[in-house]
Amino acid sequence: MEDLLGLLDSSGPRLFRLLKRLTLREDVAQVLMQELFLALNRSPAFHRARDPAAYAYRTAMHLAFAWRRERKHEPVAEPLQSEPESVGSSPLTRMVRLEEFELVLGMLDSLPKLGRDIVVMRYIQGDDYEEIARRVGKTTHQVRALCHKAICRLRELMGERLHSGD
Amino acid sequence: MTTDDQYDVVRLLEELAKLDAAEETVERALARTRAALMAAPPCRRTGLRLRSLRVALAAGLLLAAGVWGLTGWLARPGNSMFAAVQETMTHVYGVTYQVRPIRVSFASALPAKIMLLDERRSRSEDDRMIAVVDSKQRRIMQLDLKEKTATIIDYVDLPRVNEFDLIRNLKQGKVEQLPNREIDGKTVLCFRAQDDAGGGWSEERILLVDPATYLPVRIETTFTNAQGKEMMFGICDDFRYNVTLDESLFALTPPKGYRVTTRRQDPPPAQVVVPAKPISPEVRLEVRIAEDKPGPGLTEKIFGRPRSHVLLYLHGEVELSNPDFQSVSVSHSTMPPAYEVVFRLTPAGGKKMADLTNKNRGKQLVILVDGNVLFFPARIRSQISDSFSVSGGITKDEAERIVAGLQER
Repeated sequence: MEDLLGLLDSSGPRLFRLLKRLTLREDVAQVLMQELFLALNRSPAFHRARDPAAYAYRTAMHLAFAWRRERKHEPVAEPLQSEPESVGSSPLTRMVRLEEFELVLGMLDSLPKLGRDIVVMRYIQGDDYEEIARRVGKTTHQVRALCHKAICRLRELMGERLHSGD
Repeated sequence: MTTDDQYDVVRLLEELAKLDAAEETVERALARTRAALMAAPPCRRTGLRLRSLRVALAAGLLLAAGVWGLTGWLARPGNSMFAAVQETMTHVYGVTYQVRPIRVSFASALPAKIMLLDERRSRSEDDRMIAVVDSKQRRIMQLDLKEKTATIIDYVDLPRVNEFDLIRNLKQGKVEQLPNREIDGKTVLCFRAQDDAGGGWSEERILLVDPATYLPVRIETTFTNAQGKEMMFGICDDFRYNVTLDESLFALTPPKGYRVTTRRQDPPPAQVVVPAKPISPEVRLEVRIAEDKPGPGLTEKIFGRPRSHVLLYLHGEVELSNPDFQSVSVSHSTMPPAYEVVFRLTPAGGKKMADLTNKNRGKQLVILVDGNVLFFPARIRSQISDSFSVSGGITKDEAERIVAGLQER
């Protein structure tokens, strides 16, 4: 329990923000945050993990994407409560941006898990390649290659989506 | 959907990365998670596969618990849960509740309604009096409804404002968790807090908390005199949270038709505990700015004890250093009771600090000595110029030790 409480103190804020970015909803992020730590508490693998924080981040990503898959057919998320600076104040702009985020997150989920996690760590978490490599147990070179491949695939998916006119 | 650039996935992901959550929301989420963890059954993990060995270990632990004092040992998780209650209480405003004196031996007291608007403003109402308290302005307005008089007291010392604030700030060492209780058919968490009320009196609070929200549903307070006789027993209940309260209820302006009396309780002057001396050239004193989030060029630094530490993301630039400081001293102020480490800046240092604090409102100001974070970082709320002091939770010994290390010998 002590190790989990320590992890909550040290990495909790970043984990919560990650969950919010992946779900686009604060209420869901709060629920998933509790689920995450309760799941880690029950997980023998977490307690055996060489890098418990890395294990927690990847579990958080899996939980968030699992939640996205479960609610695939439900209505679009509630409006963002805190917006990126670049998003204008117009409700229409916000709605469009929200749809774009939903779109890109949906596409991310269609990538292989490792590529998806690396893209999330690199672009949404802002981690450097060395840190990501340590977390996923690959070399920096491999991580760069996987990240590049995942981004190319995302661009392809986006292109297909644009051409299909959806 | 017009250009490829507009829909570039990297740009979209980077935009998504800017999506932030309010500090309050994050803290609430952490408090709830902590509470859920504490309430969860312990993880069944052990490297011991042999049942007999596990049984032996359990027996050993029980024996140890018995020897060391079972109550104190078991009270620890309760304290952590109480910490979660306190954290949840910290983020709740728009609170109303009733105070009901049940048995009072030393004075007359009426049932009162308490309203808490935010962290500084509260109001209590009974049939005779209304009191509005603004702890930031250190001002109280008392209205006598029968006599139609208003008394405004300035610079009043406010050691305790209300039961809710008192519990929010209670030291955890004084709290133990009791077995759960039932209220109206609902199981609630139960905590007992005992404290010295001064003058030989003691006070005991029983706090009953809704396990779903981690917020109090009832507080029972008992005051006992030096002879152990119960002098007062009161109950706070009918708690309502996130109530929309009209700000005008908390105005410190007396209503029309009231005779106004103003009193001023001047704060006693701060007492110098350690006289000011220049900073020793042997120590490297630095002031830097820190962010809440990691970012390019920022250095992560951990400050604090395990389980209560914070992560700071320090900027590389040293904004102020030894030549910008004129002196450092310790003073003692009784309002609120605190020991302060007072840093006085040179005119050039003061100018630098004024620019720094003007440009970085909302960020954290970090003081480092020889590369180590000295105090819990303060968030910049206003401009600082010629001097500043650090006071939060510093004991006399700590303040003296810090200053002894900083001052020129």
